Amino acid sequence: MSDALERAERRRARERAARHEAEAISERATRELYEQHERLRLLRTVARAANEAASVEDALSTALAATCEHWSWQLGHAWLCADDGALVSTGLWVGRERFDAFQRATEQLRLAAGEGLPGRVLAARGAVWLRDFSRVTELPRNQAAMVEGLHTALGFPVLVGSEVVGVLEFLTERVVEPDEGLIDLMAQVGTELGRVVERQRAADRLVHQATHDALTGLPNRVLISDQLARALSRMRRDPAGCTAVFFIDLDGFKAVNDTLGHASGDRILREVAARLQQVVRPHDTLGRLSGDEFILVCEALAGEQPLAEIGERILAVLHEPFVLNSEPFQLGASVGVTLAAAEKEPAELIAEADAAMYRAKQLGRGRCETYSEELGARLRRRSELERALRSAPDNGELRLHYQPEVELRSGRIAGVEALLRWERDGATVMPGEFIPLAEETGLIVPIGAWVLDEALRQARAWERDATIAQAPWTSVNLSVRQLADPEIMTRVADALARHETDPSKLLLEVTESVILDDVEAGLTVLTGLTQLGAGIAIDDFGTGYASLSYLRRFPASAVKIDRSFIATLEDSRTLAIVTAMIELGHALGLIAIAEGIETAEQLAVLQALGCDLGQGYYFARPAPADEIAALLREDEQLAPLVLGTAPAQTG
Amino acid sequence: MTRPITQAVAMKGIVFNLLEEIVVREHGDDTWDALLDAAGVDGVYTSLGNYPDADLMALVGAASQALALPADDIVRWYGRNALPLLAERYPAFFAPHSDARAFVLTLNEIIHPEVRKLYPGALTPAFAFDASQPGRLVMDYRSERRLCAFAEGLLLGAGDHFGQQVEIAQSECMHRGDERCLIEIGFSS
Repeated sequence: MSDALERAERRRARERAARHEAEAISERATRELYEQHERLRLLRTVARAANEAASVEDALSTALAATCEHWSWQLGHAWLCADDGALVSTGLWVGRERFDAFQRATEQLRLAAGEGLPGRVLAARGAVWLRDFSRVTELPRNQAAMVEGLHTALGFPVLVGSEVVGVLEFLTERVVEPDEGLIDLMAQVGTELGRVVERQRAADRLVHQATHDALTGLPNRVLISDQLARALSRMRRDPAGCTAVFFIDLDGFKAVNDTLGHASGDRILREVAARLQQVVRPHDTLGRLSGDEFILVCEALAGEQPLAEIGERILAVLHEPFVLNSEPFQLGASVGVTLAAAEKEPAELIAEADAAMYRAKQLGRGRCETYSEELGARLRRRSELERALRSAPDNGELRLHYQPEVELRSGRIAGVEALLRWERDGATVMPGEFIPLAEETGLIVPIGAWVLDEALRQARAWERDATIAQAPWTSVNLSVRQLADPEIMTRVADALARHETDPSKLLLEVTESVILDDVEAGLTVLTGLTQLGAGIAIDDFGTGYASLSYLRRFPASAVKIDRSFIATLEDSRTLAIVTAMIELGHALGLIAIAEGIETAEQLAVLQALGCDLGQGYYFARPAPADEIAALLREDEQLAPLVLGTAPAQTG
Repeated sequence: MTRPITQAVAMKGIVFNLLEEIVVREHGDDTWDALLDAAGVDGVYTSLGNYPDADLMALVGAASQALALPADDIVRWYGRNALPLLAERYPAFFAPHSDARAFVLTLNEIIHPEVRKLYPGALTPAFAFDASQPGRLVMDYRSERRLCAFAEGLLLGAGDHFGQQVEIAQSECMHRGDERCLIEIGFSS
């Protein structure tokens, strides 16, 4: 071959080689561009799913499918961390149809850090690439992988910050060498998915906060009602079992809160929650309604029989002493229970259990009562009464009657006691029938305010009445609840100012019990009231529990001797007590007023003992203001009449 | 020089490049030039371009005439010789496998997707496999190009690559009026 020809052939070969190289470079660039494009597409798909997915599961599913498609891996699966940190299958797969055995082997697993491929990812907080899964015999799913012909596996974490919250794994029948580009890309996918988990967690936290009690972590009213509604609808579908609602209220909890402080109260409530948790069965719902009220919903009970048993268990665990600051003390609880009827509403059932609990309190606390129709009827009457009472002041249904307090020496009417009447539907309701309810519901505060206002208005009217020679003072009863009202001082001062009533014409009657709960606070309020110019009378004197040492500090100007003593004056022991009370009162500079004088004999005895004033049917029944005004005008004739009918003093 | 080629009838440039490489290696540059002249094609092919199917048919026709061999034999010979070149260029497709049968089974799922990465828009044939018998495969091939002989050549080449005997029979063939080609393959162990 000639040199020229050889050179030409070499040149041609060179050119061909150069062309091949150019093509190879171009192919590499094309391939890289393609792969980059595909990676971006995958990331975009996952990012969009992360932004738009309604749930973590949706986002995971999208990521699994997109990744499997992108890398042509045959199997993809997602794990999520359970509350205890272990990885459990989400049941979300791509390609599981072909790998049945591997799926079964996977879904029964619960993997801690370091266990299996996912556990290794969890421990490493980063991707783990197993070139040949089927050869790593210590892996829990090694056998299944072998059977299914799965070889290379990649696991990578779903990360929230540096916390692994889940693991995605991909497997293929091929043997694939580790690919850093793929691992980098999947790290980004894991971060995107982490955002969804984080968002879901924030949403879950909000839901949890809205449905749970922050102090005890128990379901709150919202969730209890929801659970109860579900239980009722299950009952409607399958009426086999019974559902019961327990209402649990601690006995004496308020005292703990008041005397030991709220922090101690909170500790007790947490302890109560923990103890009740021990009593309940796994599927029961225990919740806290408010304060010291807990609810327990028990489903699938075999009739009524277990109710008492559960009630007893609740009472027993709460009867055990509590320990605060190494001091043991006892609380106990009152429990009400109702058996749910499917057609009822959750709120209705809670109200029934509440009513039964209230009954348990009334019957002496520390017991469990079951709701009955009769109890329900009583409850309805009571709530109806409460509703009517609430609107009574505005409807103008309240009236004041007055009963004279008469000077026993002169027969003159020195004062009148304002007594509340409720004119309801044309009939008069006596205080005994509605004052306890008013006390319980707190309605006593607005009603008491009305009484004070009306009494002072009337007092002022009598003061201005020229036909009345000497206007009487007016006695107004103040209950414990009213005295505990922080507004009481202003209420009294305002009412006095509004009617320009002489404060010395106001005698506030309080029982000894007003200072039993909190001596200092009670005395402070009473002292404040006397500084306004009003007098204080100790009502029902001798029936309460006040000690004489309190009496020393009680800023009273009068004692009212309870009618029970007057009614039995013929008894020598009673006589001795009444004598002592009058003498004690006088010794302390107090006026003695006897209540419930009904006979001339009683009057004579009290006159002989030096009792200052008396009140009772013997003188006058409680009557409307205009009738009292007539008595006040006749005052001078009334007095001799009274004295004239009294038998001569003996002695 | 740029010919408007639609994808549907286009052949990837690499097909021409491989053919050129084999012909030059086996028969010299002059033979390739003579083939180009006889086929009436200009011979400007790069692996990244698309060229008319007709060009390949013309080259095969010219070779068939020059060698007095059936066109299918030319195509089969080409396929068998192209495979080692492909193995040289794309070793990653071959490395994971220890036998020809396993390699062939990855065509649809791995090789063709990879080919599409390199040559966006490439129309790769889809094969259906019956892999129910060990050591055997039945390949269902349907293509307008009717290049079953090329497939046979590649299969034989795969056997050469993995050091196996490959026996091929076509029970159905589009060239014989069937609607598909059914290529029955036996692999020696």
